[in-house]
Amino acid sequence: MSNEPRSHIIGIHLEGIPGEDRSKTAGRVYYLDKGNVPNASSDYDWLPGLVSEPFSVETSINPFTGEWNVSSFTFELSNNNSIATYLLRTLQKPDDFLTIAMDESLTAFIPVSGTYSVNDAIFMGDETLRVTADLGSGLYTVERGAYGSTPEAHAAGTAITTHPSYWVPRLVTLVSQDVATGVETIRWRGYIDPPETSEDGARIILRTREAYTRWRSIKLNNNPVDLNTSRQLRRRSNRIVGNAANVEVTTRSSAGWIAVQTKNAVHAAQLTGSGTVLFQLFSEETAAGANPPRLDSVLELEDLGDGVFEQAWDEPVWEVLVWDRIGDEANPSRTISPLTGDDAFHPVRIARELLEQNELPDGWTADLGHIDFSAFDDAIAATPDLQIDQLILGVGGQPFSPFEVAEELLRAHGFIPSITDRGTYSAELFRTLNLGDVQQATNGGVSPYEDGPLHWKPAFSAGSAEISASVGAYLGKPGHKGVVRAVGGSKRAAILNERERVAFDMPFYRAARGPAILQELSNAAALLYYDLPRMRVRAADTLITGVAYDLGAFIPIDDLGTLETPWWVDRDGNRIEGPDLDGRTDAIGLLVARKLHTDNLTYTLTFVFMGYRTGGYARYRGPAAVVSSWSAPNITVANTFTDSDAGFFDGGDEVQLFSRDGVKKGNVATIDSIPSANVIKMSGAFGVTPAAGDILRLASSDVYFNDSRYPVTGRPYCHFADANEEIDHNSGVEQADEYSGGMGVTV
Amino acid sequence: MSFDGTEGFVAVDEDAVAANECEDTFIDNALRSNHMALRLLGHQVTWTPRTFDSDDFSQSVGIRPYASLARSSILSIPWIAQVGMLTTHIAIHCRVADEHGQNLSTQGNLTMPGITSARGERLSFTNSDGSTPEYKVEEATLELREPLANERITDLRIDQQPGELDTYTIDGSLNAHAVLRQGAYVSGNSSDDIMQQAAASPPDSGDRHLMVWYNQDENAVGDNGGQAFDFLWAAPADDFAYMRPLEANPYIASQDCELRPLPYVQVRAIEINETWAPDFDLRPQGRYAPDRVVDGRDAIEHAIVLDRIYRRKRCLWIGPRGTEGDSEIWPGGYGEKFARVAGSTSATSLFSVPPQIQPRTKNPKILVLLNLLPTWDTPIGSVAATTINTVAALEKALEQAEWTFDVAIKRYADGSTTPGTIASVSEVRVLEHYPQLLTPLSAALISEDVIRTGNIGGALKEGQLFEEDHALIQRVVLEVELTGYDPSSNDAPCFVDVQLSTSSLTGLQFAEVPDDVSGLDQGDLVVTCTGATIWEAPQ
Repeated sequence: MSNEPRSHIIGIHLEGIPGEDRSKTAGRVYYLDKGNVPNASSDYDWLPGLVSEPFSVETSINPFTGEWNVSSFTFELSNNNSIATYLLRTLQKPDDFLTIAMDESLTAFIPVSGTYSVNDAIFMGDETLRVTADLGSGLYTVERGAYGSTPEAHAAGTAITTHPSYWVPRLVTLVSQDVATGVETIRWRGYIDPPETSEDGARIILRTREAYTRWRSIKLNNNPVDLNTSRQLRRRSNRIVGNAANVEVTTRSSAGWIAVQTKNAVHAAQLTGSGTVLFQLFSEETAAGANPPRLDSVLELEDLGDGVFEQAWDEPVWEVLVWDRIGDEANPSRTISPLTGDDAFHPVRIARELLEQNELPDGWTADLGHIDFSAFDDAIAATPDLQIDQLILGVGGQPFSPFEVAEELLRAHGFIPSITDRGTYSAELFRTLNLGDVQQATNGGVSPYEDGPLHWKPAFSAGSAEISASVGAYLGKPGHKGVVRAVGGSKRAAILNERERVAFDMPFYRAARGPAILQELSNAAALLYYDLPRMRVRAADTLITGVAYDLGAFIPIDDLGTLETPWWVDRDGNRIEGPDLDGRTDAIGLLVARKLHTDNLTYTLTFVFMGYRTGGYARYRGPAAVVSSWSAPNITVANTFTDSDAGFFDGGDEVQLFSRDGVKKGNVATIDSIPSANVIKMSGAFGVTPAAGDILRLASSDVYFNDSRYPVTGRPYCHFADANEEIDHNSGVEQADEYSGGMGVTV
Repeated sequence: MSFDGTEGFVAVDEDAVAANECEDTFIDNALRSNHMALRLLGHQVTWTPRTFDSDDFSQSVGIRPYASLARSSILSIPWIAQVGMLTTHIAIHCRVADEHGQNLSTQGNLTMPGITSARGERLSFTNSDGSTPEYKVEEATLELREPLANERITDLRIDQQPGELDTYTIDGSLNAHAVLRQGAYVSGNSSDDIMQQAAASPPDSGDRHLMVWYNQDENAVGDNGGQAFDFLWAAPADDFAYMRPLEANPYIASQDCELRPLPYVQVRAIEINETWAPDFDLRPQGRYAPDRVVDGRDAIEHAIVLDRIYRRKRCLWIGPRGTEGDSEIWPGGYGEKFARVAGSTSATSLFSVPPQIQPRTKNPKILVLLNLLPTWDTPIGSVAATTINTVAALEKALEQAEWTFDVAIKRYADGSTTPGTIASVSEVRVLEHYPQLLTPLSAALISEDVIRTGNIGGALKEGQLFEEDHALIQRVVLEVELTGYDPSSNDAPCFVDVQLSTSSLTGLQFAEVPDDVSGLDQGDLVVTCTGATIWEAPQ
């Protein structure tokens, strides 16, 4: 593709605000009029109004620490009548009220008294509705979620306004348009701060902050439920008894109880159908069916004193949200999760649920939209065994940040937050460069602009690294604390306190697992120790390169040729002055920072070269299958390793039979096709009859060479090397595979 | 084909990992399965106490039974609970009976303090008196709810306690003096022989060891109200005894009382089989799916897991095995379960393990773990004025003593008929000594006093530790580097000798002995080994 920028306009879209042309369904966009005429095909109503173009915005992540930074935009709008009467107007009272409640999809709209015309905008809550028909008798039909707003439910009696009732925090979106093609691209999302005018009143200043900055400050459990507000509970012997009438509890389980916490103990309390919470909280297991503390917690009760039968329990009892995979000592089957399914304890699933409401009750999830959960779902599917031990939210009635909890869950397991170049929040697995990434990267790379920077940083860390983890610290328990330090490295760096330090807080694993977790994290320490170089260059717009600049994505540096003095230093210390890096796996960079220049729609990108250390990429594990039966020419396999062991083979693969203890049997044969998930059709003969229990494996590399699965290589799988530390195949000889480290906890 | 280790260990042929072979899900799962199999294979060790006439599997006479109404131990040994521990299986070769025809059974508990609950795993000791042979195997499996993540040194205990006091009355309408405090030295009514140890050929119907003294308390609620006592010692020809109440601090007025029967357990061997969680700290099978990245962790995981399994400590011996008694009649026919050393300036054997120790790894460490009950003889006769102050000063003087522990590993060299020392260690430890009788808070201390000073009757509960006794046990761990040991060329198993010595009482380690105490020397300091284990720790 050409690197030449095209004629474009860039503007800001305000959520749920109609344009002057009400038929433009996407709503109003203010842009800087520099002579480019907006393409008429747009669903936005492009209105001139920006008096200066915002310069740039930068978003970055530190994949080692999980930290991320975003910056803000300030827009300046012309203070003309149209804009001023919209943005500076202060509403005095509602214009109308809703008669019949509306869910998120109902299009019938019945106000109390107002009269509306087609294309009128109606503002209720965070949603804008557009009137599409007047059915008479005060009944209308409306378009839900009009002008870029999001449909939501409204109760009867909801206030209605015909003008936006608030501006803070309304979503603002930066949109660009190629005026020639009409292609429009969302570049950024943020929330509006209070608008104000300039000192001279000539301009309206609209300050915004990137959406995720606001999201991270979200707190949930802001109105915690203390079930002992009226101190109606009683302490009797080794238990707390009583009941509380409370219809506000939210965490009712399918078993009919809610999780409660008092002091440092977590219990189940029975919730009746009438909303009464029954308490029978024991300090210890006293009888079959008794209710001892959960989550390995202990309800410590002081002596009642001589002659005292019972006394008031003055401690608050908080409703909490609890995951406990281990169960309690007396009954390991007492596992608790507010989620259902096999992944009820999966950290990524839990993170996902905290950010989008599915199964969690109201008040325990953020659910703000604009999050790309596909990466979350991929991660859950790819790591089905991952499970946390425990999690408790709302301890002590304290609010919690769903984003911070989600990010800790993600980061500990090797995921880093990502923000796509469309301004959508996502997550990426922080990983070494692997075949899949190389395959994906071949879809396109970037070639730096000649007038951009060529900024090279030879090391990400400072010659040494230190990773610490606190595991299992919750409910007053100290947990396990440990530190992994990279062996060797600069003693001076250690003395001068120049170590790269990364801290993990993992209350969601039992402290006993601390040593194993630290061992896993030591891989990260090793990766930091060996250092990875970074490079910052400027590249063309994503629309031109065709490459998505999502943070955490792998992107190849294709060509330094257009730079005035192109160079690159490889891992052997050689300065590569040639113009072309295309095909070098060590020049495939992990995107960690992205700066959008709005004046010319170019990006300054910062890459970390994850494959730099090995000079290669991690290959995949080969397939294998256990023979269940043989009916020529089909082998039925037992699906021992996955749900579809046959599905990992491909037509044309050359395979061989082995006994279970690894002894070869017969000859190499070729697969014809894979008719179903557990059937492999052969086109060649093994020379022996496949027997139940035989193992079907790919033949050795000098026979097997197949680029049908991954076009970037004929040898996608990791192989054992020969005595020369080489791998021979029928297209040549390669150096033995160099293993790479991993990131994140996989215990 | 499950690849979860349950199908045993299979070799992986070099074909499977030959040059140019693909690292695939079969290889990783086969190796993972083999790791799991190794853990599931576990490790077994057996305690074989010395018993009289062990050839006869219906033999009862001469083999001292374990019996008590209160919970007491059959075996309580120092134990290294290791990372990944999940199940501990025990098999006890035992005979369970009572001597009064009531077909009584008892119950057992397998526990590890600090790891399991106090209840631990229950096992049943079912009466086998009518079986042929009378010795049988009782088994129990203790399974933790999750694998142990940190190594701990604790005790492995097998206790027994009948579920309830049987109502059968051996002898009733008796009368005894009041019992006013725990662990009492009680005199019976001379007209009744309620306290008299009348066993002619124990265990038999006259053996007070197999009875409970039950004192009805008219103030107690209910018809069966009262207090029950285990006999710690009973006089064979007179009518007084040491008693241990089932419940603490009883106040029993002189009442009608009776004798009731106890079930008992005779043990010939206990096998302990430890298995580890097959998947502890292993990557789950899903990690070894095809078309997944093979990264550095995959490359080293198998080696790390194997190394961990290799480095697991193995218990090679359990003791002490006790001495053999042929009649169980004091003093000549009485076998002792525990091992004892009286203080001496020369090294004295605590126990000597015959050539049964055979490490399987090169240059291992040998760990000797000892559970010790250090006491000192109560020199009542040596105290000129047995005032409280003198006794208190004496207790303080003897509360600590330095002991030198000498551990020698010996082995027969080729052509030699005398085992030579191949490794040894000499370590000094300070032990806290308890007076045997002056602080009668412990059944074990009373038993020690009976053994050291008594010449009539036997320490009936010797070899059994009651709940209050465990707090007095001190653990000593000794390490011997078996440098140069190579199991591939040194096939002869090893002896292990453990000897103790202490210096005279005039040494600096002792506080000043009161002037009015005479005849006291280091020989009055006693160390009793209540349990010992010897471990191989690969390096």
